[in-house]
Amino acid sequence: MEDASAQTVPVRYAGVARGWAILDGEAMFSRMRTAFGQAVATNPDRLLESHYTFAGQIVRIRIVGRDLAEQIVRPFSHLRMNGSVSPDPQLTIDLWDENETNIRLRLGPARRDPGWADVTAVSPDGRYLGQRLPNTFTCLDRKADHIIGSIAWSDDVFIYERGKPLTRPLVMWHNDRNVQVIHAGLVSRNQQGVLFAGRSGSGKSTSTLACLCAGFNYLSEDFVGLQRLPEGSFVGHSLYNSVFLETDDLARFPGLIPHAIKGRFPYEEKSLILLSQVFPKRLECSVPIKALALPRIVDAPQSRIRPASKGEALLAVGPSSLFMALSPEDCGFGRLVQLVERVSSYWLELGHDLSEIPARVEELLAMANGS
Amino acid sequence: MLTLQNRLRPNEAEVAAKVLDGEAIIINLSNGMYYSMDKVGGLLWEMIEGGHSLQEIIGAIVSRYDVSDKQAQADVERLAGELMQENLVVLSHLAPPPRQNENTQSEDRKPYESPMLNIYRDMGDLLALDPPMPTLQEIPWKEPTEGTPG
Repeated sequence: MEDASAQTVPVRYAGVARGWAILDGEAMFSRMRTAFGQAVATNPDRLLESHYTFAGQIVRIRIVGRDLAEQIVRPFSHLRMNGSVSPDPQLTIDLWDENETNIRLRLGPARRDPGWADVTAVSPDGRYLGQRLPNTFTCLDRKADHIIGSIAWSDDVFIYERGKPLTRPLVMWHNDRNVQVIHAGLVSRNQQGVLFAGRSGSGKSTSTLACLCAGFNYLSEDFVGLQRLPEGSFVGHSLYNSVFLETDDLARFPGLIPHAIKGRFPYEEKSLILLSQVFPKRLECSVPIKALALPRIVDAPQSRIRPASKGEALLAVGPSSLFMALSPEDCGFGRLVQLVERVSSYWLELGHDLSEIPARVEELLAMANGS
Repeated sequence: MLTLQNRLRPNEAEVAAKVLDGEAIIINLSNGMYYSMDKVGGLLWEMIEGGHSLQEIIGAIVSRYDVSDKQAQADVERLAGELMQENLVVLSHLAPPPRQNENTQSEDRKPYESPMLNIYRDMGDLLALDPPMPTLQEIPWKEPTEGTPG
């Protein structure tokens, strides 16, 4: 069989021209749907169904496999719906555990090296998007709003697969629903959201977690669904309650250390923390965005805030957020421009004493409110 | 070689850009590089977007800023060259915009600083989502090898 990875289509990812493999989407999706049906038919007592709200949209998740069902939804647990559920979800996610059901896709020979790998593929017409990770294969049918995935669940599943499952299909689905997924942190106080934007290493995660530990509500430290309402204001939506932290960063938050989940492989350098297990009452689904904070680490004893220009804000939020577009035309740049034009932006200069961050963010919110 | 009669236009197939409060923010979507130019640079980008020739851009700068023709020409030629080198602009063969009134020097021209193209090349950071993927190695993306799963 021909290796399709040799053929590429010029799709832009992460702002970089990168060839994504071509996916025979219709055949693959049909095959996966058949496989999921077999998993259900042969394991009816292992099928669990639950409902969630992603960016205000109802999502039905059906999972065949008890361990998988228990583990894989944890990063979404704060988005779970209670009570009666509409029969018409806007997205259906069907997953099965290859190991528990013994229904296997057999996409290729078993790999000796368990190293991390991440391959994304799209069908030539753009309708289907697939993502293959070491133990996970998922495929999104953008027209049918349907994700199907198989996971070979075991202790060897990478913490990156556990902590942020279904990333690329979900980012694409959000974008298709006019909710642009951007790379930012988001916390809130009194239903007013503060978005943290900046490059990796700028202090986004530190600022987000410092605020959470000080009593702010939490929505994200990396992926935020950005929605522009008809009257021009912006709402931020949470995708995951999971956080990955380097050892040094984790040491700054001693309360999180007992909850850190370490990977099994040496190259899994970060630890996973499921915030739903630590701060279940402080996780929020959606919040209006009131201010944009641009953290940066400075060599100064104290932290401080000062206004940032719109250009500086766009430079902070733009480049790392334009990473999941299928083409330059729909990369979402225009919406980010609207964001920085609408929302007040501030530099959040992080001095040596990180315990000052929440107070500075409170001040920042007060400034954005004109007080 | 650029001449002063040349007109440039943004390389729209690759580039997204916006001038905000006089500062041009430019992102090259094909390689993840991004750029900023403020003050005179922001004016230059706006006039490139407007389809003006380099000569017209020089005239506009001299009318608004306290700078000699010679200095403005040297800076515009240098900056235009840098923008082309970074593949942010291409030569335009579109019809020129309607002719505006001749630039007249304002009495209160602003202080002049030579415009700079600030370049941010930290592509590695841009690619690094949280969590950064330890190693991005491609694995074969196979077509199904069997007719049915399981």
